[in-house]
Amino acid sequence: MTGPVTADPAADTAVDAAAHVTVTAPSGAARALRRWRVPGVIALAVLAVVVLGALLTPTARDDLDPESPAPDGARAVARILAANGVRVDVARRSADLAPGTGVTVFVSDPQLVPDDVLRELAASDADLVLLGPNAIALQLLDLPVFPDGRISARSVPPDCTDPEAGAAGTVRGGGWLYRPDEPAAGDEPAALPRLCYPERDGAGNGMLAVLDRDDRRLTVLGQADVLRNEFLALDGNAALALRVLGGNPVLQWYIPDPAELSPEAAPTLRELAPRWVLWMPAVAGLSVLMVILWRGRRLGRLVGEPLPVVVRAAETQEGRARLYRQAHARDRAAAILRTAALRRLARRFEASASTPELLAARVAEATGRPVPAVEATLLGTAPRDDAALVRLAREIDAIEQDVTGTPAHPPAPEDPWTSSDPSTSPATPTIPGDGR
Amino acid sequence: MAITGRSALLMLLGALPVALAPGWGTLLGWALLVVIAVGTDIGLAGRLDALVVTREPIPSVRLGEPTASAVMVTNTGRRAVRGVVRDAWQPSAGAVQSRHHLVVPAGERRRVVTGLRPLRRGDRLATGLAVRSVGPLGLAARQRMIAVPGRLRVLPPFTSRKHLPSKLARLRELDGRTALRVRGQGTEFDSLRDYVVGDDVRAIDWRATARRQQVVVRTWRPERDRRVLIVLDTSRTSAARIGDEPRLDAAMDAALLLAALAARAGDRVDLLAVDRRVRARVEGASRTELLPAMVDAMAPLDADLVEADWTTIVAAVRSRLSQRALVVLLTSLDAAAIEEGLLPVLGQLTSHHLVLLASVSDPALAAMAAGREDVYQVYAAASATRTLMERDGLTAELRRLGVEVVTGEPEHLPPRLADRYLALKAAGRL
Repeated sequence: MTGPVTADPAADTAVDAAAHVTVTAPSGAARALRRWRVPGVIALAVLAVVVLGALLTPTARDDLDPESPAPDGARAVARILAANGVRVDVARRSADLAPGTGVTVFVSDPQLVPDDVLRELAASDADLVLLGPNAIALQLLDLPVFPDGRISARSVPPDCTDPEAGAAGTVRGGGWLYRPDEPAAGDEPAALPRLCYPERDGAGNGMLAVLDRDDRRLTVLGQADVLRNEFLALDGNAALALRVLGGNPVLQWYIPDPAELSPEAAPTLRELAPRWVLWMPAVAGLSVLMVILWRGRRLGRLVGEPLPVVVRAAETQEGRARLYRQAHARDRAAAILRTAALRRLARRFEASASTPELLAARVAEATGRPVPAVEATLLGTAPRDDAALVRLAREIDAIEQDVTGTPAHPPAPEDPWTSSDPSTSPATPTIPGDGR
Repeated sequence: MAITGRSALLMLLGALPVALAPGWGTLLGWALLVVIAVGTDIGLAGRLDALVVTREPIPSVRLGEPTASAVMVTNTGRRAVRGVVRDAWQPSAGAVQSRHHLVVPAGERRRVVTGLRPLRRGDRLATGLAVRSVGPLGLAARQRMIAVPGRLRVLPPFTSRKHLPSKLARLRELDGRTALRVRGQGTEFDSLRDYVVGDDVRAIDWRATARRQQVVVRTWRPERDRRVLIVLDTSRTSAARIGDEPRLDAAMDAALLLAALAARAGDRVDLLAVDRRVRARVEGASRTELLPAMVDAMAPLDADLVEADWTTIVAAVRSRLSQRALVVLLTSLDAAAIEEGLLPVLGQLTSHHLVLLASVSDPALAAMAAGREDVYQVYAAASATRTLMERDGLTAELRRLGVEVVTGEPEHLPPRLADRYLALKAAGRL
């Protein structure tokens, strides 16, 4: 063969067929991905909503936390105190405490405070407000009051001589009640606490116990509801809370950390477990070893499979297509496509493809297209860029389709009864624009 | 030897004594106990050197058809052998269930049958029978591979045999058996019979008519006892995969259909499979033996990655043919291979014989040539179109040299080749 489609020897030998191993790619992963796409998206959406919701909702904190806006939190009272010039410091660990003169330390749960911290607090100069301490805490703090049972919450009048309680008036009482400890011999009467909000008139106990000692005020509060957001606006709760907590410019709100209660290391699992348990991994390990030997033993040798060499038939053509692409061989590609189309059209019109101008004229006549347009498509110059090449290929197809009424491909099947087909004689048209 | 899951379980049971009396002594003592139990069990297992294994021969099978392989296991020992056996076939033999539970009492024998469904053409091999004889406690087993080689010949599937009835019907039309008689160059005189309306007046035998009262016509039948030599190219171009199978397999299919048809037409068919040397041959087979001999010769053939040596091939063909014959070259219209290899020596064949070149074409190439989606596809189309044009040019060149050319996709080539053979026969060109 000669003309524009003469084999480029470099292109042909370079892409000679190479041995190719058959690869079966059922792409099960891709199918599984497709199947789980919709449920996966739904699950992701639900997860996103949950995470966002958790991030956007106010963090629920502990009971009586001065930063908690929950009904059982105490942010309201803390805010009011701050608004009235009291600095509220939240201490979540004992190390954060700095008791001293001019400081009120509020302990939200004295039972959780380590003993030495309680003793430190007792020895300090700070005013103390203890919420519902038990007998042990009271003893450590050396307070002459004693728990006197717990009753349900109710509104109670002060019924005492304490000026602050008197000013607050009726508050939410109940909760833990306290009574004076039996005074030891020689104690001064001034050491006795003032008890307010008793269980009933003349009961001798009270929800609030206040003791003044050495210029300090030690307060025991038995009803936490007084400080809670939920009840702060009721009765005289707010007044009492502010008076109890706001006596000093600085309020240290101490929320004890239960973790501090046990400073010594917990016993390890090894110390807790019975001795025989430690031997079980050894037994299990030996068993696993035997399972490996059991499952790992193959029943007889494998039989080798001699695989035949199989080359994909179109591999050479694919390789040459890649070479064309890398070299941007638009001129060559266009020339090939034009030559092939001209040959098919020549066969169709029973004309010679060696006179392409005449053929183009006949094509133009048959399709009703202008002659220059047909000539530009079939005989024109090489396309300038890849897009032009694609357009050219489609335009050639369109012309052929107009001529034949059917797509140009595939070629017509052979007639088995004709021994030879004279119309397939090699035609070598000269294509303008193909210099090589 | 091999151990079973039961021995691992026995080891795990050691947790109990170790829990009751923790310590190294208990642990190692139990492990020793397990080892002794396993050793005892192996000692008590049926002996494998007492087994005599024989394999029954398997008849050849067409690709795609199921078959079975049977081995006879005879126990000549004093203890029963019970356990598992595996018939070790190549993976492509397609053993359905290769493992079998087996109990052979002392002095008895058992037959183990493994179902096979071969996946590839050719000789599929078995190396032996792996036997695992489990002891009476079921803790451990003796194991051995007993060599009993086996071979299963998987024949080409001959899928195109579905075309045979229609081609034979057409052959009968050519033959003198129906009312329509075809007279042509190369047909042979058959008999004389009375003229009936519709007969060609040119067929009237005036001499015979003169002797008798009625008008007599001659009848003709196609030529018979011609030689057909099918040359199967097993070189690198036949290794190309078209669809799911190599080009060689499609060529074999076409060769089988042609051979079946030609044998029924009364021609003598020979087969030659060649690349650089003769790989297989079928010569002088009788009409009934031809197809079995051909499939048997083709079965173990695989394409080799060598270039076909057409000088050798042509010499081999010429040495086998004394009279004029139809030489069918089942090869590929690969421009480089044909132009450089076949064309220079083709004259030696065409001068004496009628040469028919049949090539399996690749439908993927036509699909490639029609791609217009993007620039990559257009480059691919240009590349494929160039190959197709080269092929067209080559076809034209071959026809100019007097060679018949038939091309077709794998499923179309066999009937097309048969049609072309019938057309040549009808034209009396054989």
